[in-house]
Amino acid sequence: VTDDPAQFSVGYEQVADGAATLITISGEVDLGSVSEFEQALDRAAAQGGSLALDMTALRFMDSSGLRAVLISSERFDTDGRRLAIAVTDDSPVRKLFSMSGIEDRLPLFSRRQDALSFAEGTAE
Amino acid sequence: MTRAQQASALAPSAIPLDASRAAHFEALVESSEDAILSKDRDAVITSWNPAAERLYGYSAEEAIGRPIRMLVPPDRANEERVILGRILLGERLQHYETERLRKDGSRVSVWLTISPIRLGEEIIGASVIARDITRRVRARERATRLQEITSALAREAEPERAIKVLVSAGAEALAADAATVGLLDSTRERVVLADHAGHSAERLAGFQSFPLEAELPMCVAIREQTAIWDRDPERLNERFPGLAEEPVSFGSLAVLPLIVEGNVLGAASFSFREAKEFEPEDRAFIATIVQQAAYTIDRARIYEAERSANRRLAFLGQASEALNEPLSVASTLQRLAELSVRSVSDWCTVDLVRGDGQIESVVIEHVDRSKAEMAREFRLRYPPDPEAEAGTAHVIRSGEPELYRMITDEMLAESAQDEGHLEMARELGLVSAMIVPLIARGRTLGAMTFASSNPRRTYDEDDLELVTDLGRRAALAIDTSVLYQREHDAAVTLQRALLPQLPELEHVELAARYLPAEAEFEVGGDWYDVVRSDPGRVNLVIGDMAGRGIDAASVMGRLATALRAYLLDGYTPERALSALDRLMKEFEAPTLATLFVLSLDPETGRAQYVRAGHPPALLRRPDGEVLDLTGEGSPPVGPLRGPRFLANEIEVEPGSTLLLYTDGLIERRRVDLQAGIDALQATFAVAPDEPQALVDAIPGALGAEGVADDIALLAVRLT
Repeated sequence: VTDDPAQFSVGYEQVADGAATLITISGEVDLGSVSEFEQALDRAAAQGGSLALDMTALRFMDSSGLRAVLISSERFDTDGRRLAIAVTDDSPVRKLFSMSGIEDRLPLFSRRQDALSFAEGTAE
Repeated sequence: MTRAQQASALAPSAIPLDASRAAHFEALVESSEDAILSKDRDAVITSWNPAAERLYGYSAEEAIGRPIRMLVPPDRANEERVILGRILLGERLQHYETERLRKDGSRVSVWLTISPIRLGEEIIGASVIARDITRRVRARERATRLQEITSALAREAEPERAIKVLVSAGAEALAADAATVGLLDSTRERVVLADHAGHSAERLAGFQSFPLEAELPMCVAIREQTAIWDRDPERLNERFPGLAEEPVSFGSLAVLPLIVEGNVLGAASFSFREAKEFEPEDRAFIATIVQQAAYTIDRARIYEAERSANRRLAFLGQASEALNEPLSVASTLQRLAELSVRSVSDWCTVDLVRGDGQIESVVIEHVDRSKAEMAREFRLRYPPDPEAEAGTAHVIRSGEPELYRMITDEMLAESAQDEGHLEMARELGLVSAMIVPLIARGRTLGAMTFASSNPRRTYDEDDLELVTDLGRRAALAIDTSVLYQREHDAAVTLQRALLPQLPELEHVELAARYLPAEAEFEVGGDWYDVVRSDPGRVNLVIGDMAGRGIDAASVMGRLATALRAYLLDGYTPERALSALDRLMKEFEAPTLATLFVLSLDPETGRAQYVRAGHPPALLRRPDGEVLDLTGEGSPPVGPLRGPRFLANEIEVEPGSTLLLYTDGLIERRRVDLQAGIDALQATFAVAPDEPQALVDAIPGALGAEGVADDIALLAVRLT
């Protein structure tokens, strides 16, 4: 891990006694880093339970990252599991979601704690 | 005075001696190695022995009766008066060091012992014993000089500096009129002139470097490892016909090999205008200086070899880093050449074999910027001769590296294609070179040349091994990049093949443009299309499929074809996208595409569009106002279950222009998407009306050419 803000990194932890997974990503998601992101999402899907995706530190995401989020979101939806995303209101990622017309199809939260509470099922 | 009287006058006491004692003294005086003479109170010479004749050059007949003044150099005239004054006071002078004049006018260093001669109580004159101490003085001076030179040499860490000390300070100490030092090159078959002093440049023009077999004094001294001492120019010219073109103009010559522990480094030569006899002391002195210099040169060379080895290691390390960087072929080779001219060569070129078999110099670097231009011109005007038996083309043909330890003028002349070629080659002043092939997976891609114009940096097998290894690694890097480039080119070709020909339409002017991403990045899945459908509708499509490379391009082809079929069938945009979404769910891998589809009736100007996860198209009205067609957005096509695609209505007046694009045009790292759209809107507002001019101008105006993502643009003007 370097100080370069462009450097993609992904953090992965089990929360709420394993009922939910928290994935924190930062830096940039593009073709060079998307497979690492996809692997983390696949792992969370295989884990069972719900998923909170913290994207508040993400500076950039391209359409390959969008595709990964949408595919994952559909998988969780199909299984009746929750997937919540934390993304700040003014971030480029939020803009990508809105421009892509999927804002209302994803549970977006501007704070990480809200996304986590939603994923854990302790908030609506 | 008779000799007996002279002898009696010299006796320590003034007591008259008997005849036998007088004879005894006479014999002593006659046979003395020291000059013995006497003078009277008026400083007139009164006696003169044979040794005095040998020392001063005057015979007894010439000297006796003449004033002693004739022996005293004018600048010491006062000295004689002082000495005489002290003698007349009864003093004795011992080992008085001074100079005297010979008959021939030359000076001689002497020690004088002067005693008064008494007759009874009266001092009637003085006896003078003079010893020639020229050698002693010279020896002392030489010891000082040697000390100076040795310490001057000790201060030098570079061979050429040590050699400079030898030809300047050394020649001065030896009172030589000219000096040269020649060193054996790395082949040990040629002698290279390292430095010189006192000779004219013309005199040495033909002796910059010469074969060791030549019949030249230096070569003989090196070959036979013995010193040459000669004072006969005629004999020298006879013995060394190599000098005959410019016969020696000096009187004597000393040439000594520079030897350290049995290893000959070269030779030093000292020339003297005067014909000079080399006395044993002279020889010892010269030999000592030359030996000191040899040690210094040897030490400096070892030091330099270490430094050069360190430089090579550093170069290899940096080169390895450069090869590991994700750069294009051109950037990688450029970087290697720059590193090379910073550490191991003065000139570095990379030649690659083109598809048609021609050899192309892709990189030409020279450490000296002014010569870099010349090197480039040289390579352009005189490309490697493909049939040559040596050089770049030969290395590429044979796959074998070539080492040119020492590039001689004859070699340049032989390989020159014409006079101009030879002249430029001379001006570049290359003295040593290596050419290594660039071979990867059994194929020779080209060759890399390293050349030195520094006479002290000549290459050997170790250097060749180093750059040969570097060549292999560079070739592998090139090969990988070329494969990559080829795949990229294939994807671009496929992409372009999939992109449609735009139809000719009434009242609708069309232009489109596709810009692939830079070579370092994979080609994307952007596309555009224009589909006519009944009744008289024109459907504009711009799409972006997530994913890159040939696979993405071929999937994009399937999507474009399917969507075109739906639209041709008369589907509305929203229905066409729903159908496409269902089709994509059948694909083996999950696929996502963002699309902007607009269906226009050119007669009425009525249009419906769907923005499926795609950035908004822009509409510029006849009055210049620019609208972004954000409308009600729909999700991307492909990944979601049951997506709803919503149509938006819009009026397009004649004279309006529509601009559809993919996100490569507006997306920059660390720049907000909205900022990108705003910049595009501002640019579009003042861009040309004519669609072709518009698509030509927009990417450049936004600084979007050559970015990491590919770009598709579709411009439509309603007339």
